[in-house]
Amino acid sequence: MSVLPFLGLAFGGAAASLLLRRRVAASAIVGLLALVAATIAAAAIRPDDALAIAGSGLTGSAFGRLFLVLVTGSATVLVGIALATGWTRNLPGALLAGLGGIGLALSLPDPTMAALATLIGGLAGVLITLPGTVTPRAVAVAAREVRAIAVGGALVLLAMAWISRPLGSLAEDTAVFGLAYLAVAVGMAMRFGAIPFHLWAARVADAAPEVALPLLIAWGPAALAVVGLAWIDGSIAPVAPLTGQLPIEHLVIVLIGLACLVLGAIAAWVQEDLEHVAGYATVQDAGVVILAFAVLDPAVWEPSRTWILVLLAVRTAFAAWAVAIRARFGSRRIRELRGWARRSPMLLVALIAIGATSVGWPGLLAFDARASVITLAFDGPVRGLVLVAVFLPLLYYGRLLAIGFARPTPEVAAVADDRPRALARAAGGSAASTSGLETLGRLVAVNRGPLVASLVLVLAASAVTIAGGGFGFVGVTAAAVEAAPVVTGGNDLPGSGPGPSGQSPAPADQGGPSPAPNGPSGSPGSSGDSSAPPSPSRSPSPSVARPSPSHSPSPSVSPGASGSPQPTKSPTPSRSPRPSGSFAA
Amino acid sequence: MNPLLAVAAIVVTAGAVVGVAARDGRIALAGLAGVLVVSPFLADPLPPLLALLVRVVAALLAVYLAWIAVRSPGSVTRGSLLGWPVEALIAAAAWLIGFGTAGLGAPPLGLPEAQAAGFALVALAVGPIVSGRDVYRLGSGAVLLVSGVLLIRAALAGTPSQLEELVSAALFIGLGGVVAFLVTEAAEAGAAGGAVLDELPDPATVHASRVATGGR
Repeated sequence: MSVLPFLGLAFGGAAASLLLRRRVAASAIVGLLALVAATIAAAAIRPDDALAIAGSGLTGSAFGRLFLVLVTGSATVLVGIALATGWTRNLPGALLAGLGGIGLALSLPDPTMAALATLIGGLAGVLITLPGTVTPRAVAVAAREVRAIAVGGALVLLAMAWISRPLGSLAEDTAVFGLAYLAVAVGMAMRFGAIPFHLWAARVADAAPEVALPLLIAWGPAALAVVGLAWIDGSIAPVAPLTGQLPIEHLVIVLIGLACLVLGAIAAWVQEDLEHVAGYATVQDAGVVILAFAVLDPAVWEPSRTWILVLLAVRTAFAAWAVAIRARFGSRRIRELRGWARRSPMLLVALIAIGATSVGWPGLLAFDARASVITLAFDGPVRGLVLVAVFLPLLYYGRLLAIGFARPTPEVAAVADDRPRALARAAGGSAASTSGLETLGRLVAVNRGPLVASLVLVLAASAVTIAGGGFGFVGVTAAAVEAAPVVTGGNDLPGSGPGPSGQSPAPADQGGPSPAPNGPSGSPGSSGDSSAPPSPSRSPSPSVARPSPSHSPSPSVSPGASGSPQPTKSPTPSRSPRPSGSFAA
Repeated sequence: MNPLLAVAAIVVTAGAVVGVAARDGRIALAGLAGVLVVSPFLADPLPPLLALLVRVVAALLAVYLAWIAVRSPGSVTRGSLLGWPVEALIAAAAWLIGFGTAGLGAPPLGLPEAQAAGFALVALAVGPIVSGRDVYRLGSGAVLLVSGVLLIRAALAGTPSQLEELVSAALFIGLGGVVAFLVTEAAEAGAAGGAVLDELPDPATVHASRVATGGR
């Protein structure tokens, strides 16, 4: 129930703001108010608060709450920055619609529906891809974005539909799971603009306004990644003991992730355009998420979701920093920004904070989460090399800092520094003759630079908070470790069926053949080691249960004890010993 | 085979052929309308009446949004370079393959007709998605692709829940709105027929070329 106010505010605010788009001030005010209200509504979402609706249900979760508070709050700040630096038409409306789609995806208990909802959120982003002056090239970029969203979404939907049902003898075919697994991972990689699907993302980064980048290439794809991780957790990982670790699919996904991790950082380093740097930096961080897809081990659940939260916070702050730099110094060409740090210590502090949280150090939650994913994805000496690659962002952060401390160009030197300015000095003593509102407007205008830098600092602080684990007042780890969504009507394989949190009966209980003592190849946590304790969730059985006619393909609401329908909950989590929880995808 | 369902599947496929092959934007949109309106009925058991109504109203709204952008008599799309007979043959082949492979290796929980129509829609969407040069055609391809995938999903996993129908309806409205938005923006940008996806010369390249050729 607590999710509904958020959805209502997001979609309602989006409609109102978009309808008023010709009146810029009204659209901005309505959008800002809706964003503030949606942030409060997101904070009020209660975990495990389910609402039965239209034959299924919406469920709150701690992870969904943190995700939505983070992105909705960031969207509010971004709109504030856009108001101060140059308005982008449709911005608040598109942000709200996108956030509504994300909120819906994170609260739906069925991955297919959740994937559909992420498509809605992605389409909303198209509205802000086009800047003020429309050119055929910009429209082409937006059209290509639609293509990427549709194709990526179609891949994910097809894969989910294929195996989320009783499979019968098809379950014995490893290729079925491998193809579905690969399709979901590739679909998600396409949405992130991962290498080698990065062309559309690079064009979007070029054409779209900077304030739109977080929604376009980080928030929406991250929501899809959460859905995809939950689906893999519930549909692919449980059959890993049967299928083996799907080595070819694993290799392809690892290569994509590795390409993002290494080439993304190098591309961000050599780019001359700040928007491209922000875009490729996001691609690099997405590489870690893609690597998480390559791991069919319950242990990857928590670090991957932690990293997704870090990605959201850090990349939003970095995009906002790029907006502030461009607005302050009138250029987004890095060579033309020599000396920026000398003129704006506030933006310097923000970049250092963003860089520090993005790269991290051992002991920092963000660093440890990324290291865990990499450790689980790689073996042997490659692991060490990839762990070194996480420091590659130092290249582009270092370059930006070096440029910032260089001797300022005349244009940069002419820009006002961060010190607050009184109106009387700036306005030539005419302040007394104007109204209070005009005076305030002028005061804001003359202090626009430090004000925008302050907003960037707020986003940088949120990134530091998330990367540091919340410092005791934001439960990042508790949210990330929360149980996966419960999905009824899955396939008929052991350990799947009722979703990732489900505790399937033993195949023998289902009338299937008895499990062999050791699977042909288990998950990394238990492969080939019969002495190792079994995973709390996965059935190690190599045998396949026959289809059960009682499995329904459709999700998910079963009558509660009180007679009112409630989304089905599983009593025990599956991937790791984590609190029973609610739906997070 | 239920004859009514077979007719519905054929209507969906024929609508997609018209949507892909027609050069007049309004006729193409009529084909797309047929796809969106009829496809929710390709399920057994049928979704509840309310869910069906939601899908139909959403389909009409999506089509109306696109209609706003393409209703002028001069609205043209590039249409299919292969011509409608070839598109129809492609659709027919995909239809038969979809029908013949119902369930894709496992017993289907939905209709073979839905999978047949879904395969046809996905096959027809490939051309506009891969080589569409105008935004309307590419947008139509996206609509057909999503419609086809949802039909295949209904064929494999059975009738969607009401909430899934609701989310699908919202998605189609969004798609219609985005198509309308892009077509309108393309027209404002001066792209004839919305053709913006031809490889445009890079402004820097054009400038360098002019310098090299002395402005000729």
